[in-house]
Amino acid sequence: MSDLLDFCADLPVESTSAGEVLIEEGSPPGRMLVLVSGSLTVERDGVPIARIDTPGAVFGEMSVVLGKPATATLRADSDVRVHVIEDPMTFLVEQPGAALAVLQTTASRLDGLTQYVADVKQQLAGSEGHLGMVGEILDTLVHHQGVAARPGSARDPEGSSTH
Amino acid sequence: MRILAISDLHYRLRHYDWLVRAAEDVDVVALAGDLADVVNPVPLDVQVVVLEKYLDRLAEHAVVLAASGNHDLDGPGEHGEQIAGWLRRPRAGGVFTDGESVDLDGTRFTVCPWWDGPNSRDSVGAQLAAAAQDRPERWVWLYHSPPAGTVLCRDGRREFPDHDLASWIDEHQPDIVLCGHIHQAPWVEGGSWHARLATTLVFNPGRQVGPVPAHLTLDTDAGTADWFGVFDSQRIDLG
Repeated sequence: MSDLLDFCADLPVESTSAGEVLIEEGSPPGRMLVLVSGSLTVERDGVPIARIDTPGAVFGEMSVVLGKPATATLRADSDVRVHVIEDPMTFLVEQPGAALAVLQTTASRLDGLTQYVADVKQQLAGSEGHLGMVGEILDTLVHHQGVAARPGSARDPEGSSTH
Repeated sequence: MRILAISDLHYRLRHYDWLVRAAEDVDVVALAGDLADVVNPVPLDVQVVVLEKYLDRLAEHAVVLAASGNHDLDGPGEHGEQIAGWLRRPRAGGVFTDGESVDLDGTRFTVCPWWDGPNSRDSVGAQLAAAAQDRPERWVWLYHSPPAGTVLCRDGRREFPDHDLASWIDEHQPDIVLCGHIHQAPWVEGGSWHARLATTLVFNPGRQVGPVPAHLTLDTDAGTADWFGVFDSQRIDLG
């Protein structure tokens, strides 16, 4: 993942102290961060789910590319230094090498998930209920490229947003 | 014929698992809308992948009827109004969805889609008029939002009376209409899980959190309708 750091050499560096939040869960797509040094925790609903200290690790890219709010909070574990990319779309479009580096990161993550679920599928085959369906569903989802839905009802907007 | 009627599962996987097991004991499973949940973080197109697997599983045990609710809409139809396109795709096997009717053992089931504007509303009207031709002994509709003029369309928090459905019921007088949408209708003071409009029985099983989803079992041979909430159950005669 060090390649991405090479593309960020001229970008500003922001320093953050332990405990500070760099990305808030639910916040709209905005900047992208690339870790220079230090350690970060990813939290969902206040629960830590991952700790990351690899220089070159990228954060906020899913939110930017998909145009969706951040799915997790990013909090500094220690003194942290990150490159800040204020306009990620321009950064990625104008530097194909950087886009490829981000793609390698996300593809690697997807590959890890796929390998994990392939094993889960094998080990849980024949289980009762939804667990027994996981393999079949994953087989479909791994190849799934459905058009993003546009949900919601004009006739009953309140019902669509709250149940 | 035994019909398990349920609504508003809102992508709750444990409830779908329960339903697959329960389907073994009935002839028909009727889902009256909101199979999916647009508030859930799982994208709707991914929910649809999972829900279609469940429809296939259910169809291994019973005839499956699935009508769309407001949470199932995934984009505009050709008229620009929101539809549940995934519930209009042709399907093999015993799964009948939006816009379809099927006759089973002397009973016609008509699966009405959620309508979201004047064009899709007119389509439902045309669907019902067509299905009214040569209607057999019993006619059952699936239609997500309960009709105006019944206690099924208010739950104390909000009210959503469907005047068009009430008008169609008055025009066609089906025997039974299976609804949902208003989750607390059975439990609110003065509420109920069943109501009558002239000769038509209308049901809304409601929705509660619990290991078993609220549901109905209709037995057309015994002439009974049994409702099961999380903590209580009741029976009425179909009349």
